[in-house]
Amino acid sequence: MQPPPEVVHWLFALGFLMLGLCLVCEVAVGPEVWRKHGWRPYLWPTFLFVMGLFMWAVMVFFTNSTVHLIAHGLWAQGMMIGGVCLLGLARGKLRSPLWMLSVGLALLVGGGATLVHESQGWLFNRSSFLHHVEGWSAIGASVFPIGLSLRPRSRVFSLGLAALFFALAILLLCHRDAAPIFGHMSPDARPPVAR
Amino acid sequence: MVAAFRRVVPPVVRRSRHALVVAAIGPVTALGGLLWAFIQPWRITLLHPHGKGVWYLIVEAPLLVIALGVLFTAFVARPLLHDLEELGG
Repeated sequence: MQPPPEVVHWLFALGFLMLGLCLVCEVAVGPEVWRKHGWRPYLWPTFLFVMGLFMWAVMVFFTNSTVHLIAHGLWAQGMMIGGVCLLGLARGKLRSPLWMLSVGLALLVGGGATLVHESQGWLFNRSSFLHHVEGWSAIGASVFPIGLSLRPRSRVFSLGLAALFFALAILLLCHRDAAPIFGHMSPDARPPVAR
Repeated sequence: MVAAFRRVVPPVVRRSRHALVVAAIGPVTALGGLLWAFIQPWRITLLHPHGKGVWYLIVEAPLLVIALGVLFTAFVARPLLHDLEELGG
């Protein structure tokens, strides 16, 4: 009853889509309105934390290789640490905006793990290509949470982070097991095997 | 005369740009999912369920995107708009 890997990617894509939607709304209305209801400030940090929890299940059940195991574990820890720090900031237990650096660190480590765990350089292959784009996007976009830790009310940095979440959602939704992406460009690519 | 007219036709509520973003983001997401379903109908495995595993029948990505857009509008965007109007945004 283990779900196919592409289905797992799609489910996490929905999580990232939710994070992006929440962040855009928070930027649009401002933190005062966003925090008016007790539950709302906790919404997207909780989502991030719960996604990290589910990533442990992915680590346990998808043990293709040691590097997969380590990468999934790193993502789980990154998302949970980022989520917890954001929850602390939302609750007021943590006061320094520098705690946003945890999200930046999670993106740097997670992006690096994405690149390392997809060691194939076959960019004509859909999975390889998407993992490379996802990894470099996460590493590049880590500048946004780092910027937020220095300028917590910056709309540019918040929208940049939201854009990353949307981009990750779209890229994860593009994952499919049996579909090439640039296969026609490489003589090394074999025709896809339909499942 | 004006007062009588306003009783019959309520004034159009002009929303701020921010309120429009909040009001539109959920429906736009759902619309994106709907367009995706039309562009790649083979992603909706319910339309051709034979030989598909249970996960492919449960997790229909375009339908989930539509559902997320609708749920976000109902449970996050609408209460947020209410709060925004209350605070005069």
